[in-house]
Amino acid sequence: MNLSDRAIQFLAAFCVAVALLGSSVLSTELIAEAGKAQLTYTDEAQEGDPPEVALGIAMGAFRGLFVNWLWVRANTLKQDGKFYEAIELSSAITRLQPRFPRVWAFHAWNMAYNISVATNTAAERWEWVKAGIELLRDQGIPRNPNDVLLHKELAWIFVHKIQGWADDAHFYYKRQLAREWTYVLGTPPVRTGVTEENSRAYVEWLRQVAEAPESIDAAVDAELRDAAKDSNAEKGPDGKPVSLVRELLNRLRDEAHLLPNLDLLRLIELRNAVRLSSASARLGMGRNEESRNAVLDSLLDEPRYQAAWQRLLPVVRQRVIIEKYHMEPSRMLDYTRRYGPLDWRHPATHAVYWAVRGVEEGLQRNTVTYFDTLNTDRVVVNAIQELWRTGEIVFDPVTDDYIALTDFNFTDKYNDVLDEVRKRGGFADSDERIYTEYSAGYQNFLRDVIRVYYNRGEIALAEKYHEKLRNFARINLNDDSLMYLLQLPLADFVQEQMKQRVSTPYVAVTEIEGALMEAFTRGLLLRKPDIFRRQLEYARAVRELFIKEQNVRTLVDKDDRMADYVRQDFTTIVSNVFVRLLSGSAVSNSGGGFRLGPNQAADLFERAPLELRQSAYDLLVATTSQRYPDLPEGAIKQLFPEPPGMAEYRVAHASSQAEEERKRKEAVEYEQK
Amino acid sequence: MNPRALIARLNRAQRGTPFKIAATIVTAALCIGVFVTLYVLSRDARTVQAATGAAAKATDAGAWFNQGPIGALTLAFHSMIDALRESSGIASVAILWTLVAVVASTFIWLGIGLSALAGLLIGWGVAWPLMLNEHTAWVGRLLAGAIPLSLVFLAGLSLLRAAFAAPRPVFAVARTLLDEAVRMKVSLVFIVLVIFFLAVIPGLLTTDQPLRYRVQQWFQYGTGLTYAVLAFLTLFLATASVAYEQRDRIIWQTMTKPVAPWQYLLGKWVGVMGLNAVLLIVTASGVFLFTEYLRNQPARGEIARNVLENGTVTTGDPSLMTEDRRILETQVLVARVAIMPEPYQPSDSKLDLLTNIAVKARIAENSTVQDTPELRKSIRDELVETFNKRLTDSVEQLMLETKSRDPRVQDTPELRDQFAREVLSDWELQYRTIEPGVPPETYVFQGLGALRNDPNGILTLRFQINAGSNDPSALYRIVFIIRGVPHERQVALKAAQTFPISTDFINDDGSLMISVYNGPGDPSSAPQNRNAITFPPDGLELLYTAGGYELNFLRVFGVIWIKLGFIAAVAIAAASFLSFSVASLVALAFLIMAESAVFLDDSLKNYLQLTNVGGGTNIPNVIISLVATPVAAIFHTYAALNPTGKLVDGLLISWSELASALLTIGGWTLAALGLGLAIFRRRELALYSGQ
Repeated sequence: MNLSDRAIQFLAAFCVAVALLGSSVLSTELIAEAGKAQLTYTDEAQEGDPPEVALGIAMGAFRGLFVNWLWVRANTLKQDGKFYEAIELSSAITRLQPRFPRVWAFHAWNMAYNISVATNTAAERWEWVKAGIELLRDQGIPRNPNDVLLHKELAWIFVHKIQGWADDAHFYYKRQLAREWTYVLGTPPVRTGVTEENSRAYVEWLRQVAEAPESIDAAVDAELRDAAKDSNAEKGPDGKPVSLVRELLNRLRDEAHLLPNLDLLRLIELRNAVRLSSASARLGMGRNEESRNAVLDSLLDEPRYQAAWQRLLPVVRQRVIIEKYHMEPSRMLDYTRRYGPLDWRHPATHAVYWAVRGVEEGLQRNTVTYFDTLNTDRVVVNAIQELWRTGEIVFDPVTDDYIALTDFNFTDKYNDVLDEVRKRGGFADSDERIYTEYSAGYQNFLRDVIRVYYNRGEIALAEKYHEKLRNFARINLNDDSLMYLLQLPLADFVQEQMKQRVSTPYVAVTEIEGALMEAFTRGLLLRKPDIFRRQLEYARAVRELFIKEQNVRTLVDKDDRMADYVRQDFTTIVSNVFVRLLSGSAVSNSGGGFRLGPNQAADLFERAPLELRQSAYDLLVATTSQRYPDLPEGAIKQLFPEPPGMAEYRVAHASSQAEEERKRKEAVEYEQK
Repeated sequence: MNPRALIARLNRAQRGTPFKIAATIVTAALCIGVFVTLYVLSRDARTVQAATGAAAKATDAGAWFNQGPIGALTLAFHSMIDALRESSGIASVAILWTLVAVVASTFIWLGIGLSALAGLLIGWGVAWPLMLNEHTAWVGRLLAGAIPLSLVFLAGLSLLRAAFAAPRPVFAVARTLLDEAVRMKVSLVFIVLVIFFLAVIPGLLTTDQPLRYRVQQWFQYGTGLTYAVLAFLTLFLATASVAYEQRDRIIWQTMTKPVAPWQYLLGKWVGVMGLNAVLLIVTASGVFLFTEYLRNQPARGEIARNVLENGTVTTGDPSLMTEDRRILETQVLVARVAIMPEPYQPSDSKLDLLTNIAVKARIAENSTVQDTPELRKSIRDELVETFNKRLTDSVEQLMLETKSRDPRVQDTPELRDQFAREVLSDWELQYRTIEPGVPPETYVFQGLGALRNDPNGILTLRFQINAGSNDPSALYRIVFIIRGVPHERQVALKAAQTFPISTDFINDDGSLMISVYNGPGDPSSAPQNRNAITFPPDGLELLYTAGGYELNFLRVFGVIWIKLGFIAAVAIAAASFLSFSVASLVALAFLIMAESAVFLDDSLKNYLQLTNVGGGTNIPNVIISLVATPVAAIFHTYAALNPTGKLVDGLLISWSELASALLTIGGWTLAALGLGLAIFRRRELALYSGQ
């Protein structure tokens, strides 16, 4: 080796040393600066790092190439409708790029939206929607805990994919979510007509879970501490208090072969549901073998363990929420306090949780601008509106009955939420703008509220919100049609609104069916005859108004078939909707949810007026037999007994049909002449 | 007797002919006996019931006995009993036991029967305890799978050596290459990798996915990774063998013997391809057997193969099967052919169809009209003339508009041709576009006559729609009307979907007409779709079954072997005059170019703009086009073969395709070897040292 080689080596070594020194000094500075400015993706950088991250780092520069190739492949396969590798590809990419939120969002979306629709059974679709949710909730968000985008995407899947009605399987999704959360938290408290009481009851109900001891050991310690103070507490042979919680857990494990997890909650809630459900008495419906555990039943009935169950179940529920669902019970409690009686079986409640959480966590990062939070805030507003429309759920896990009704507890909450998010709205909702989405949304919301209260006969409340709308400070003064509407007295305001809504055939159909569904479910099923009558009147009025409007229209409408639907005889429309609801094929286009099971269908049929039962009966029997060919003979008649006077009705109906037909033919002949 | 002496004695015994004959008879009798026993058991309802429940029990049984190779074998036996209930299953199980007998006999006649058995037992003995611990279970599973695969590979290699034993220079060179392959680290790594992947992948297929996805993943990874690893093995082994022999002057020892240059190069190629053949046989057997194992697993909604949760047996009746099973049996484990609808521009078959319709209409209008060849010809001419006139008018109109905008434009035949192409392309697009709520558009698929009388035939319609800006959250409803029967589907945009169609819908003339309505079938159930929908050029196709997957599987591996032959030839040709690193790089470049030719072709068509926005020439893009276009054209056939993709999608690789691949790629292989030979013959090997 000559001198020049040696010199080059020394020079190179010197350069390396300088570079290393500089790098270590600068990187420390940079990390400190980034930390101070909260520029890092997460404030829990180490926690979410799986071993694959190390693998990704080890791949060095090739990681980018490899990830690019995986992306191209994922996209190509998606477009070609080949989903067999979807999970593996998303898993590989997210492992290599765990801190890139778009990756998680893309794959969750792909599973929940594209792959789910490509499958043909509701159960398989739900699995994909759930896979999308779990990818974000269980993996994406824990690794990017303060990323707004991921929270928004997750909230959107809840409020749009599950709560929306565009997907054919949306009822299945809603029922599955309701079932899952009935197991997790149990059936929520029964509601009263007073919002404050409802909110208080829900807070108290959730508090038991949120404030339960953090582990079973902690629950046992608390039990022993309490027992030490209680002279009546059960003592062991050594004179020390005995932990009945521990004893119960041991017996569950050894005798019932159950662990304190979601499966235990499932068995308990199904047992409770069967006891409460009248379907078990009427239809002999009960638990299948998988849902029955004789030892558990006896332990639940044993008086000695009642207090132990009271201590144990909230802890199990809390652990399941934290460990399986990656949610925080204390935050759930906080949001229930803030937003009202949130029913966790409702998809929009989960949308509220994740969207609000995303904004709150995201705002702690200095880099988050109002653009990031704007869309997420919109999801919150959207979700609260959905809760108002459909937040009151009646669900029976035994029969799968699912009804979602307007929840008036959220009427005033909408405005509060708007005030909260408006502050973050930036220029998008600044006072300088004449039109803002939030204000426009609120105006539309109030119009709906007024119309609904008016149709329910709650005129005073309708009047109150009518006044509120008139005095709304941020009203769009440039909207002439709104200005005209606001000048009208309440009755005319509602009538005019109805006119505007029914100008399109599809909306008219939605409006009529929505009113009829409300009449049947809230009016008949929940025994509110006044609502039944008023909603029926409203549906009739909408139909008449639509026909009147259509007669003066000259434009060719593409929805001719829908117009024909509305032009049918009103009794026919009412019976058709009634039959669809009873036979389990009802679809509410207004976004509400009605999917009755046999038990509620039988109740509803029994409570319907005689004329309605008569007009619907034959069609109902035919539709139900066709829909459920495996039903044993006589089961349909047992559920829906033939109304009295059917023979006379059939004769009268046939003759009126013949008369109608004659008139129609005459009209056609007249037109041809 | 001490152990060493016992081993020596057993070793001598296993090499003796009496032992070989006796062991072969015992092996054959055992295999036949087991097969017959399993067959008899499969006829017994109680055993079948036990086998049905075995899969579930085996996975959750906590007993150590069930978690090792014995548990796996028990599960495999139960699966076989289940499979033997069906005729297709009998063939699979028979093939399996024939393979076992052949492999065992190979070991016996190679004189290593007892050694192989001992190796297998010791290996599984080590794997067993490892499988009991959750942290080491994956190592145990890997070992349990890799040992039989390695043994089969070694048996194959020994057979191949025996086959290359003929005293010919080509075989001598090939035999030397086989020895090198096992000795050289570079090739050994890839051989181990193939076996590793094959042993590991089954463990990655989790049962929480539908069965059809598991089978498709197995095909994709099992076959795709095998091809990828073998391609690299071929490339590096071939280049290393030829280049290192020149660098290290070992070639002197060969070329100073009566070995012609062509014999040397051909010998290298034969050696590499022989090794590839052995590895492909090992992997193909592994992939096939595990596929059959998967096929016998319960699909979604089943408790056993073709047994629904309510106990209904669905064998042979796709209409009763769960969706998962039906798709697996009718869309994955089959060989299907895809056809596109007739284009808007009248082709011969479309003209025939239109003529038929017109003739029928005329006869219906006037019963005195006779269906004669003259009438058909006149109608056909009329149709062509009408179409041509419309086209000419449109071109004329376009020409007038262009000239009115720019009077300098010359009316040339070339310009008219260009306008005609534009008009046709525009019409084709309009034909594939359907506005919401307007009457349905009809598409015709021809050539399905043979399927009309097939009672078990199933057609699959694959479709993909685009609308507006393809809103990812939009769901459209479209109705496919086939012979008046509506099939409504909910569709996400820009994502393909499929649904089955009965062959009963095929018309007498072998055509199938599908009308598509853009909107919901029941207007009261959903709002109208917002935008017009468009089927992209490959967005509507009909697939039908043309055979079982077994022979297709064989052809797939045939195509892979042919493709590897080309890579080997390029690598050998490059190494004949370049050093190892440069030759590897050249061969790698060829491999990448060949494999990405379809992607390159699509990219060039869709994204390459030769002119700038301002109208000037985009020089970098022109250069890219000059280089990339010939590459895409030359290797298009190679890339388009895509054997793994076709296997995964259940698409047919026909014998004619295989022959065509053999001719085309075989031709290039010969050309590459010829080029290598031409250079190699001119090389002065004595001077070259590679330094």
